[in-house]
Amino acid sequence: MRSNAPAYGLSASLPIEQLRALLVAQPLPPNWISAIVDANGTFIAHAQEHEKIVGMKARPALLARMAQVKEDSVESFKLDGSPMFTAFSRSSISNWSVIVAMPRAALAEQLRQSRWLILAGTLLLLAASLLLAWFYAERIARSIHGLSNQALALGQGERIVSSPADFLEAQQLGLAFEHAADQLERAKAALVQRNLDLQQFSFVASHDLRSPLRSVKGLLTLLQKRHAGALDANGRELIARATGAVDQMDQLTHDLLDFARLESPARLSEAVDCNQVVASTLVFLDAAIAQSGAQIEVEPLPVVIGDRGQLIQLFQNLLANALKYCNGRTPIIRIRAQLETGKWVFEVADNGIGIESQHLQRIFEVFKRLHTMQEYPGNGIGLAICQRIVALHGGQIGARSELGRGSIFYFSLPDAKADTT
Amino acid sequence: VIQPLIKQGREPVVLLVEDNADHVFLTRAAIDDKQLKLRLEHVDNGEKCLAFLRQQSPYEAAARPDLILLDIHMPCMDGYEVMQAIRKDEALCDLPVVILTTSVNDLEVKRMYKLGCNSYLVKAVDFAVFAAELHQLFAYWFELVILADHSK
Repeated sequence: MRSNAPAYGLSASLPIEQLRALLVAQPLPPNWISAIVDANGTFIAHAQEHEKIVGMKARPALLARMAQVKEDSVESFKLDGSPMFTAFSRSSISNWSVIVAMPRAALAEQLRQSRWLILAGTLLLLAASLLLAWFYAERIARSIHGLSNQALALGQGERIVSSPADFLEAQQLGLAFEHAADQLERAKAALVQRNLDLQQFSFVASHDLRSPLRSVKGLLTLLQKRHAGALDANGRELIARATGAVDQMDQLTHDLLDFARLESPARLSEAVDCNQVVASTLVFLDAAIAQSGAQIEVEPLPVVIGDRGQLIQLFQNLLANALKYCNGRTPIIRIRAQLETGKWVFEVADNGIGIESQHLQRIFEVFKRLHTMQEYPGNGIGLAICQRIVALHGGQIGARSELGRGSIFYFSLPDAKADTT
Repeated sequence: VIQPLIKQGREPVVLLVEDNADHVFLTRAAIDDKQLKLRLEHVDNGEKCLAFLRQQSPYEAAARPDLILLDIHMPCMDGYEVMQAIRKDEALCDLPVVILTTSVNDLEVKRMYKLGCNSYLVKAVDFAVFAAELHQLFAYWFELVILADHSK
């Protein structure tokens, strides 16, 4: 019995049913009795007649003896009046007692005093071992309960509190959890610091890059403005080229800073009306839309949970691409959204140049470009920003395309009505 | 009668605190370009700025500026330290200070306002836009607002 005892102890509360199972599992002769009584002497588990006996009080003679000593054996009677030898042993932690009884009739005649003593001793031993099994089961259950709490806390990234464990293996496991938690904590702190360093670096880099850039651009402007007359056409072209390169770098530092800033978590509590987001975006892109004569159809859009500023940037980058990669045709752009399994899936479809299928995955990588600056200006950050924004909103972005026919960019955003918290 | 500086018939004095010589050059060029009527003084670090304001050597003859244009990132004493020193100095604390920088960093903006700057301005990269910004800035401080009077 001692070997299988822990199997019954894996629940922290050890309900009555399990106590009873513990009793039933003991290989006792059929007419013997094993039971557990609480501190008041009321039966709480009974191997043989559980339903009938549980809730009843033990016989007064037994109760009287139990009140006097922790463990002993007495002559007693079954509820039906048949005489029994009964041994009991009380647990010091719960004051519950384990009782084992055997019928006196079966043995009485042959029994001499010495044999009775041996028998009584055996009964007592049985009761004590049952009690021991129960005691250990409870300790193991408590230890494992403590350990599982630690494991749970670790999994949730919380600081774990080591609870005292009752046996060596559990103690060692507990220490291992604590060690793992410490390492996790250190790794987390290092990561937070690295993120802060990176963000600081991007600010400093952007400032330090922009400062001389600003000088070059300003000086070129003054050169053009004040001394263009002193230069020939070649000289003026050099100024124009240099100015173009500086503008490009200026845009690059801008976009890189935008991209780096997206590291900060989006405020994902706001309900944002995407109709308003797209309306704002169209105002930003007013000049480009007017210039290209683009037709833009916007179907009614939903309210989503997200960061308004980031969503404007998302639509702005996608629409700007749809306007840009049109190969001289009049852009026709369609924006719509539909609810799919609790998330809104948006589509921005165009009739532009399209994308070859082997590039569809890689276009969202930072600095990834498919065209030269002469064909289509750009720096390869726009879609990377889109990808990052959608990811910060817990969604996914992708594209379908047919070369020469147009592209459909799609992304998912959390629905405002669904409780995402 | 207290009135904006321009109506008092006195030429405004602006102190530019900036370590980048090109930026100083461009600021002067923008003022020339817009033909702004003001005297631009320049120092290239924080210590010199405080010495200038306190008329310490070698600035014994320095005029008290009506407006300070302060850069943040400078060697030795940076813009934050200068800002703090100005607001702590009884004789200087009412001087308007405009932060003029190339960096837009939310933390820097908050920190500067907390230290008591009057405005935070990010210089445009485009020269024409920058010149227009300076024009607006000086119009505000010298034609619109009433400054603390130190002439008496």
